[in-house]
Amino acid sequence: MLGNPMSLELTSKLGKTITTCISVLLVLIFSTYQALAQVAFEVSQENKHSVLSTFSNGALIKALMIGEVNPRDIFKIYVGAEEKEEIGDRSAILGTYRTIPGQIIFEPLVPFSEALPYLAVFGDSIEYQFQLTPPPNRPPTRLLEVYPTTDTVPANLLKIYLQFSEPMREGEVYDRVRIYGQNGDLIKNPFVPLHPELWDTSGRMVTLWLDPGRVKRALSSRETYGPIIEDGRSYRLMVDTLWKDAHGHTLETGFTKPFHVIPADRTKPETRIWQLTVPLSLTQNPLIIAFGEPMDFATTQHAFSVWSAKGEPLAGLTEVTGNEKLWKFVPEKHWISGIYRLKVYSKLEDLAGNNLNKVFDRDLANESMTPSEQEFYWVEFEVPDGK
Amino acid sequence: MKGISLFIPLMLVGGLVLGYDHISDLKSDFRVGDPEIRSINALAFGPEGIIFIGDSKRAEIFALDTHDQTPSKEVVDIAMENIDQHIAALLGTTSGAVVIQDMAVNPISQTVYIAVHVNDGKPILLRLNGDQFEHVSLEMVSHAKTGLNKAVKEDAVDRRGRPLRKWAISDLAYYNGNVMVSGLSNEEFSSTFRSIPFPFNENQVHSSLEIYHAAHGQYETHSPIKTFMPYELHGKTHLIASYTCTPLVIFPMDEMKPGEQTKGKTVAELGNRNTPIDIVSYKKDGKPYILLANTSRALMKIDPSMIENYKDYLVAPVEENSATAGVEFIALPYVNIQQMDKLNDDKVLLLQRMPNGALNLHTANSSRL
Repeated sequence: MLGNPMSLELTSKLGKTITTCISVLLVLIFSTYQALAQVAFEVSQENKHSVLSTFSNGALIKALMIGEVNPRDIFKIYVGAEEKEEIGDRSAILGTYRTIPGQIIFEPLVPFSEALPYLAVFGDSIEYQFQLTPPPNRPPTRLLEVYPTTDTVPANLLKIYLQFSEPMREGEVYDRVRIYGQNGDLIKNPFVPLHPELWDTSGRMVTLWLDPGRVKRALSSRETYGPIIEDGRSYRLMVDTLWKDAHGHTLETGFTKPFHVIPADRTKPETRIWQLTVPLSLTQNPLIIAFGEPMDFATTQHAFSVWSAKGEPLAGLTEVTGNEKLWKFVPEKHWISGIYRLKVYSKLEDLAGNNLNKVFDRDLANESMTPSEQEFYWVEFEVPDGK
Repeated sequence: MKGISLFIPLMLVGGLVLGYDHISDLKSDFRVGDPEIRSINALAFGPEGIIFIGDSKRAEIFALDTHDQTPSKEVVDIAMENIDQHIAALLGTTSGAVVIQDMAVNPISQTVYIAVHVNDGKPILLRLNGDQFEHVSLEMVSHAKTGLNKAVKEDAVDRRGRPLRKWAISDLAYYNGNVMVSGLSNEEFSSTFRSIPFPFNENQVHSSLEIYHAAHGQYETHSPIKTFMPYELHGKTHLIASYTCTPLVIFPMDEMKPGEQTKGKTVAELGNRNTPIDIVSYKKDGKPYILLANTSRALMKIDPSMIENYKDYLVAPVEENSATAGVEFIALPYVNIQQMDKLNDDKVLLLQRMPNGALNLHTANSSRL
């Protein structure tokens, strides 16, 4: 390198949450062009990430304009904290290039990660290290809730849901969630290692299936490896703090959920034993259904709708609450006295995967357990006059 | 790289849009634009360089014209070490942030396509050109698409904006004018299988597949299909499907009716605590075989004539612990395979986690299978 590196303050065009990194190096750039040039780098975190290089080498500007030089060959970005000489044969990052006279702008195909250092290399030897900083106001990602929220679960519990505050990175679930017995012994392979992992569309909630082969009775994997959790015992579900979110940051803290196991639930949920708290007319008080047992969080969220006597569905807010033993509905408009109907989707499940049509662990020899094929169930209720 | 040598680097994207030859019937309703793909969970090639993409987040199947239709002159063995680190470097991240979703080989050109998700699940499609990966743009492409919305229609987002249930696509295949797709819900442990006519139209066939699941010793409808392949048995097209606890089940395709349950026949129980990954067919010395790759068991080689001749469809539970039963298989010395596809009739491409932790892409010739 010739000349001395120097710094130059440039005015940031970017917003206040934007990290702008600028440096200017005065160096010899291309062996091909044999010319001195100043190169300034600027990293934008706004909307689309980009790295901009500004230079004043007239010959290079012309060569880029007439297509004699490809910007990809001039300006490369690598992941890593090493200097160019140590990058070895690592590939440069894929992205798109835009050129305007005196500038090359690189936008990476995948936005830069806040958790990683990067190296921009202009020409052969002008190097610039950068790393994005998280916006100062963003709280760390947390595990908000583990469903079921109850601390007492049946021995044939089928599903666990983890709800996070931010989208998480895929591919880590089965390494980050563990179940320990009361002696601290690790329960081996409790979950079905499904690929793709079962994230919801927001990337914030993941479903874990307790191995049905070890949940159902008389199956070879249960006979071999035993049930996952047993009646009368206590366990701890632990979530590892090293789990990374979509930005590459680890969780704020780990998570421990102690729970106790009660006998397996081998009965279907029955609408006839539900207790309804029915509001008065002219109010917007909630309709509350008490199931008498904790239900599966996800299927309960969208198993219900409330219909008027005219056959129209009501708009309103719903909530699964009370350790998933309750479903609440608050209508947008006040209730009118008279008959309403609650429509219940038959796929509604309890914690053991029993739905309104059939038990999960069906004994084929027992004809009384023959499944129903009904798609919906209806529960009628009458809103009394509130005058 | 030194100076400004004019090597043509990686972003040979234009082919998807620019290579404009005559429009075939299959592509006549393709439109150029952004299909807005949000995830890639499964890949499969159809004819004429069309790649099918299963997008679980959008609950849609996309057909993209890759314009990759030049037959390969010779099928060369493909090998690349540390492929995850290589892809991570290209995408500016670490291998821990890259999840390889699926791999598919274009049967015309033998080009390898790999779909990955990065960090928050951004889908990226790459293809291998020599020893370099190219990015395949998913933004301005000639495409058609169809929805799987029947799967989630009952679950409209509730008024607090909680997200939709996801129908996770587990496998995808094109056969004889139909795109077949298997999937599992993030809420119900059930089996869903669809056959969608292509070019896409409204006549989706939606079959629920019931199997006798020997490992569980009872009729079983709760287990999702993990991987499947259409295959000719006794001169009739069957679906050969493998489930999460590895029963191998066959379904005659002509018995699948829209909306009806189809009872499959379990022909093998390939062991518990194992999840199948991919199933392909190949030929050795002119004789056809089936290969099944698994999470916790070795690569299994199955003679299809044994499936055809297997009369005693499994009806009794497998008694011995973690035992296998039914049609015999040969365990080949390939473990920890992550992805598998056929390169041609007698070469199979494997993406395999090696004992030293490296994730390598390599070719297995039929002489070694």
